[in-house]
Amino acid sequence: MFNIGLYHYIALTTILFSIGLYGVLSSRNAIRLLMCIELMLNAVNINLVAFNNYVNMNDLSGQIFSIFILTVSAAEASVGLAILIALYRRRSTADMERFNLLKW
Amino acid sequence: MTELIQNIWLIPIYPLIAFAIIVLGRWSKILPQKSGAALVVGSTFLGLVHTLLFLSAWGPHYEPISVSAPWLHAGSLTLSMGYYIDAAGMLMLLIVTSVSLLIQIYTHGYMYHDPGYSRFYAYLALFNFSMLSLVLSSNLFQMYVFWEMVGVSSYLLIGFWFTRPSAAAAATKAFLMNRIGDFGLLTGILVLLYFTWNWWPGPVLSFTDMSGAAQVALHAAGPVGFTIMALLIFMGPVAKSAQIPLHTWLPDAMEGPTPISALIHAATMVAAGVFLIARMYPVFTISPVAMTVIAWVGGITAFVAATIAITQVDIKKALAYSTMSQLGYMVMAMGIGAYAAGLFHLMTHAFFKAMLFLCSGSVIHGCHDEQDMRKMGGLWKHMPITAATYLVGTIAITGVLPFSGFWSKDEIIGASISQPLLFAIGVVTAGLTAFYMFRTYFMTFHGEYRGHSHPHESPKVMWIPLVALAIPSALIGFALSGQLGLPSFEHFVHYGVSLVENGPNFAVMGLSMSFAIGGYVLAWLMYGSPKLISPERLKTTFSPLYELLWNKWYFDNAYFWIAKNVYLPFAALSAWFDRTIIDGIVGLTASTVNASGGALRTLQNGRVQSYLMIFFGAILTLAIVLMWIV
Amino acid sequence: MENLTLLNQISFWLFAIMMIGGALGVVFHKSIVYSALLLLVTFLSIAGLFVLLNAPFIAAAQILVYGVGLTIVLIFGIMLTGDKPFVDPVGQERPKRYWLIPGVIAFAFMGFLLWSLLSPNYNFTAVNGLFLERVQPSIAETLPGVQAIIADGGVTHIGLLLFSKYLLPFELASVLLLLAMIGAIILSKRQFPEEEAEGEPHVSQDLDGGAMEGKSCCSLNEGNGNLASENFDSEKETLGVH
Repeated sequence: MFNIGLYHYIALTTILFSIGLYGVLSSRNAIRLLMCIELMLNAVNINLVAFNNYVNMNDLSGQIFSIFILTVSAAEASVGLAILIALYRRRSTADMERFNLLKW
Repeated sequence: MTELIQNIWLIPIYPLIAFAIIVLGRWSKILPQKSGAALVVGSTFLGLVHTLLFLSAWGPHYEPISVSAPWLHAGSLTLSMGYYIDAAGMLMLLIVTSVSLLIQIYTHGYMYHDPGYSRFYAYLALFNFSMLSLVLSSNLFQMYVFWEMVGVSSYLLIGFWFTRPSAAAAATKAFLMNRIGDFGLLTGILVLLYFTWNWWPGPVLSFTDMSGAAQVALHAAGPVGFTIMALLIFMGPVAKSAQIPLHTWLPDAMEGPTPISALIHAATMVAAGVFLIARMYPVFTISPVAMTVIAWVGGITAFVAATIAITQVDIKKALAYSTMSQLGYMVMAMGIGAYAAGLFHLMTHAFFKAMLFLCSGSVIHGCHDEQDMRKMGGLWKHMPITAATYLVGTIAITGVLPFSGFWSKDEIIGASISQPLLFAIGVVTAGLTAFYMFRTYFMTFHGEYRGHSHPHESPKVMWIPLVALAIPSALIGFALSGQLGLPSFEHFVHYGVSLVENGPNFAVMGLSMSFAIGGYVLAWLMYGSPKLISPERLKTTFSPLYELLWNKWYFDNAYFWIAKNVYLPFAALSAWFDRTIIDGIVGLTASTVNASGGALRTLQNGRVQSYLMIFFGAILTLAIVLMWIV
Repeated sequence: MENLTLLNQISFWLFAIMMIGGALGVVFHKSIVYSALLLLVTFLSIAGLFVLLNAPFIAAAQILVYGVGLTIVLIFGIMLTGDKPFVDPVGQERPKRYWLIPGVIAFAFMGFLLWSLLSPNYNFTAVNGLFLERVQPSIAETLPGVQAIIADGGVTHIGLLLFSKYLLPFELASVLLLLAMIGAIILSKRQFPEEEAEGEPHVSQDLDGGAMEGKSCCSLNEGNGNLASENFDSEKETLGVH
């Protein structure tokens, strides 16, 4: 219980990922949706660093991966926001309910 | 000379070339307006010359010649194309080329002012090609192909003046009636093919050894199946040769130009039915039931058509019923086994009936398109050549010694003596024939002219063929009767060993001729000069009988009634079934798809989050399933 | 050493609870601005966890990139899109399927992952003995990664790795960032009013000088004049805010 191990981190990131997943699936505000995506990405990040720390400390590859994920998520967030703003200009709302464009 | 024999297949090709030249030439406007006659007559003349040369080179035993090449392969089935010529085929070749030649010459005069002159000649050439190919066909399947092609030619020519509704309707009627018969014929051919294909080592459906194939088929199918097959095949001739009950198209076919009535609907195409029976004789002869049916169909047709012809006032329709009646004789002859007599009558009939039709055409032409005999009369004075040739034809058809009809028809009647009922029909019909033929003759050429136009003799190009046809009409029967020291018809044309006693039976001939003379006398009394018996009074006296005959034994009415009260309701029922049940099932499929699509459509709501839900739900399911398996 | 371990443990639970609480707040708080601030809390807790995981460089990057950059960008986004009050556009009661199905899916997902984590089929110890417990300190200190972290928090090590072993991904990441920047600029670039108006039919026909449709639209155009200028004004306002 008090000895913090890999299991703890995995369980923690699982919970965080699931919360993020629920947010992504359920939130109506597009900004909140982007936030939840960040939560999911962060859960993955923690996992990478934790595995690096507990499994293989020969080098810091896991940390490097997390840096890449950081980069990708930053890019994703910026582009996502840009798309959101473009959408907002067109529909003048950030309500996901109104973004039913992905329909033939 | 061997080239001539080997290249006999060229005979149908000549008219085909003429047809192509006319079609292409008139289409590209290269060909002059009135050049059809020269081309088509030339091609037919070439065919006639070729036929005669072939005949001279053929002898001395007149062995059948057959050449065929594989045409299409379908699995183990090989159908071939080629030519087969025997005495009957030779006879048909001679008839078709010679009669065609004269009729085509005649056509030049008859159709000269018609705007469809070139088209008419093109159709004639097409018909000639089809008919000659039919005659030369080496197997039943090939024959069927050309059988249909003559049907098409006939359809085109009946509906030649297609702007007339009656002509268009007649063409359609002929086509439909022939469809019924051809359906039976094709079914019969397929059944025969089925029963011979696997058990008969020889070439399928070929005429070269039809009797062997027929034996095999009889063995394979059993007597009942074989009889049904034979009767199915016989349906083709029934329609094509206008036998009861599929006869109603032939009188209507008189809507076509008269040369067509002479060529197709009197001399050649309708005789193709008889020719088919002759070709398939090995099949029919080993089925007694089929033979009996053929004989009775022919006999009944001969009698019924003759009775109808009595009341006809349209000269062409009277001749059409006469044609039917004579074809009935031929079919009856085939049915009773008088193969040679039937074909002999076919030949004589081809000449005199073609001539009679051409005479009627000449009369119609001279009276400015008048066909009603009630508005004719006294034309002897105006058109003596036509009248004389018509008289020759009338005497020939009535069977007065020594004209050709006497020899051929009385040979049939003589052959039927073993079946008294058919014999009686034959004799009575001979009397009726004399009556109605002389009736038409008297109504048209004797008495006073009852019309309003100015009748005139036809031009030379029209009456020369009449005279040319009058000679064989008068003499060919006698010439080939075996009485003059010349070889008889049966010397050339016979089927195996003759089935019945053929040869002039003078007692029978006397009987039938006395009936014929009785018919002549009656006609003279009613329609000849003194008018001793009034037709009008007879009409009222025998009113029901007259009504029956006037309405052609109510065949058309019956067919109309059947079409209206049986067929159309059935069609409506089928349509209802199709629309409600079939379309319902189809529609149900569609609506099921539609409904499931509609249900699935709610999944595609355009919301990213819904898609993500599906995505993660699927991942979850997949993971659980994999966990379960692993 | 013992105290340090205890501190580690206490810090872990603290950061864990903060992180989960923050995440739940991000998802469930009615106000989107609060959500953004709670997201910042979550990010910072995660940074703390990174420190506990011997990744101080990542922790710093987390604070810089997520805690500062991303949160601020998100708040800008909220400002640009939230012309209505900064709360969820609820208005009416949400249908069940908007929270029930995601809830079921998310719970099932979590349950599945946790169950598989605990299931003996996936006993990580079987794979590698180093899994469960931290490596013994005596051995640990010989590992290059640990040495690098002890030396300078792993910065040198990470830098060397980035420019040697992970050079290509690194360059690709830089290209990705460049593309993302350009893409973001193009996507969010405001079209000029003239450009935007060109899409509208009435103005273009007006410019054409009156085709048949243009004439019929003239009255419409006059009627729309006020509206168009209002739009323009509002656009200027938003530009000013921007």
